[in-house]
Parts: sequence; structure tokens; C-alpha cells
Amino acid sequence: MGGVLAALEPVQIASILVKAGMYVSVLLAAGSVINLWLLTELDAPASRRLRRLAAWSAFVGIVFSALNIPLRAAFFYGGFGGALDPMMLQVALFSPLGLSVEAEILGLLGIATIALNRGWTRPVAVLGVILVAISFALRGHATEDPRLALATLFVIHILAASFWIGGFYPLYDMARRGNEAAWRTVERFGQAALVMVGLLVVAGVVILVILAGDPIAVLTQPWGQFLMLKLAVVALLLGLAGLNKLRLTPALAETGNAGPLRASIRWEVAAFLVILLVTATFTSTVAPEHVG
Amino acid sequence: MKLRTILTSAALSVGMALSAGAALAHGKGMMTMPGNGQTVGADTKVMHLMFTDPMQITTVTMAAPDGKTYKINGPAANQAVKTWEGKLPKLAPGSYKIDWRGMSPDGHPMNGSFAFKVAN
Repeated sequence: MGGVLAALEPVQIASILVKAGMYVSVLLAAGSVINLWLLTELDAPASRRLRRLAAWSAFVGIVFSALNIPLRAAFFYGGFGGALDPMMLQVALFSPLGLSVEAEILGLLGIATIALNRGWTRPVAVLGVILVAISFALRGHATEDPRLALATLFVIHILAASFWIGGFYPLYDMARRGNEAAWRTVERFGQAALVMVGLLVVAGVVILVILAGDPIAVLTQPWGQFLMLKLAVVALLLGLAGLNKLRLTPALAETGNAGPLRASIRWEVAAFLVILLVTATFTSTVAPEHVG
Repeated sequence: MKLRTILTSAALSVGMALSAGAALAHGKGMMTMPGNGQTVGADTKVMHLMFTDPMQITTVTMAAPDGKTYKINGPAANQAVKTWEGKLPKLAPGSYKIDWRGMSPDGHPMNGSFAFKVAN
């Protein structure tokens, strides 16, 4: 793992950082809209703040998403000089990545309309979320056979992951109220999570079986070190979640003191950021001949 | 909350495993001419990159024993080919290294390198 990281070119480092930024902003934008729809107990201020978060995340996501094209061109060229090379840009734009980025940006624009809070903006934003999820199915391994099945599974996977990431802020925001609405919001998220996370894991397992064939065998590959690093952070998340469930959420219901729960959510966010950064690194450097 | 987190964590791990397992498969099925480690004559005029599926080769460079790096010209970057033929400059005896970059049919950026020698 250290050798892989030491061998990274500047273009690859930039690509990893942009990919991580894209993961965070795009999933947060989509997840914020999903939670606006699901968390019916949100009060007006919390709802307004979540709409703003969705819109700002969408705008940041557009920037990160668009940066993928010149960075891909730079890789094709072998240096940052390729970021403006017409031929390299053409190859990048007309690749599956280009189509995916275009769909993603269109979806993010739809999501950004949620800030206007008009009658028509919520369905437009939901369509944007769907388009963003579909954009992830337009590139990479999602385009392999059986394409329809893989694309569907990837869309489900992204929607469920977005829900998870997009839940942090509204829970954090509402928890400080310390009232019944706060507790009901946490409960509502937990109920929805049972379904969404079920979909997340089932889609992930089926995708793994379709593409890798033997899930056990793939664990013997060199990238296992990255996997172990990610699992270590996941273990931290599990510990925090257990703490939330067994101690902090009951404390919120009984005492109205949300401080410990909010602190725990902050640590969960940090852990999730590390997971996404590790994933961006991992999926960009796993094999010498495969850098995207 | 705990069950949700466990399931999410498992799914994220699976997703990461999936990405890597499939990614490694992209390195298979490629050949070069000259082959890696091969010794060729100074009269060698071309090089080939051969793939099982059509590839878009965007950049090929050659590091020569004189310390210079030469750009190798071949089919245009926006053309997908199974065999990419590049015209080599005049070769002097010594060790050479070829680096190439391109894109697979499913859009994955690819790169690789190989070395060969030119006999005295």
C-alpha cells in the first residue's frame, strides 16, 4: 500500500482528491434531497437549512464533477499539460466518463433548484437525484454485462449510500432541539435506514458476485491492505453507532440533552470522510495499469 | 442503529472489494512487440501494443539510453484499435523503456510500460 501511494503522480493525486470531493458533495446533495422527502418531522428552519445544504453541495459537486474531464485528459497526456489538449479533452468527453459527468451535472442542477422551495422544485430535485444515481451507472464496471442488472444495482447502491450520508446533517440539526420532534426524526431515520441499508447491502453483494465471481478469492488480492484500512475506520463507525443506539439516543429521549449525540455524529462524519478518501484512493490506484 | 451500521459497513466493504477485483482484470490479455525484456536489432522500425479488446491509445513515449524521451506516433488517440503500431526513431544500442496510456472500451484509464534492449 505504501509503495502504491509513494508512486503516485501529481495528476493521480489531484484525481484522487477531486474524486473524494466529488463523492462527498454529490452524495451529500442527493442524500439531502432524499432526507427532505423522508424526514417528515423536520421543522421549517431545519428543512430550510437542509435545502440550502443540498443546493450548495450540488454546486460544489458540479465543480468537482466537471474537473474530472480535464484531469482525465491530463492523465491520458501524461501530465497537467494535457488538461487543455483538445485531442485528450475530446477523448475524455466522449468516453463513458464524459457521458456520466454530463448526466451528473444535469442531475445536480435539478437538485440545486430545491433551494427555491417552490411547488415544482421538489419533483425536479427528486428527478435530479435519480439522474445523479444513474450517472454512476454510466461509467466503470456498471457498463459491463449484464449491463441492465448492473446498472440497476449501482443505482440502488448509490441511492442508499446517499441516504446514509445525507442523514447526518438533519439528524445533527434536529437533535439539538432536544424535543419530541427531534426524537421522532431520529426514529424515522432509523426506520427508513432498515430498508435503505438492506437495499445497499443486497445490491453490493449481488454486484460483487456478478463482477468478481468469488468474493473470497478477491480478498487475497494486494489491495487487501486498503480494504483493511477501510474496515478499521468502519469498525470505528460501528462503535460510534453502538454508542448512539445504546446510550446517546435514549439519553436524548429522556433528558433532552443532545450534546453527546451531536458529538458522536461529528465523529461519524469524520469517519465517513476518511472512508470516502480511502475509497477514492483505492479505486484510483489499485493496479499499475488501472488508475481510474 | 447498530444493525443499520453493520449492514452499511458491510456493503461499503463489498463495494470496495468489488472495485478492486474487477480493476485487476483490466491488466490481463495485453502483449507488446518488442516483448518486455526482449533484445532486438538496431534495424527495428516499429513497435506494437496488442489488446484483446479495442483500446484508445492516447500517449506513447520512449525513454532512450541517450537520456531523451521520444513521443511515439501511431493511430490517433480517438481511434480504438486492437493493435497499435508506432513508428520508432532510429535506435542505438542500449536499454529502452516504453510508457503508454489509453482508455479501455468501458472507459477505464489504463497505463503500462515495458522495457527492451537494442543489441550492439
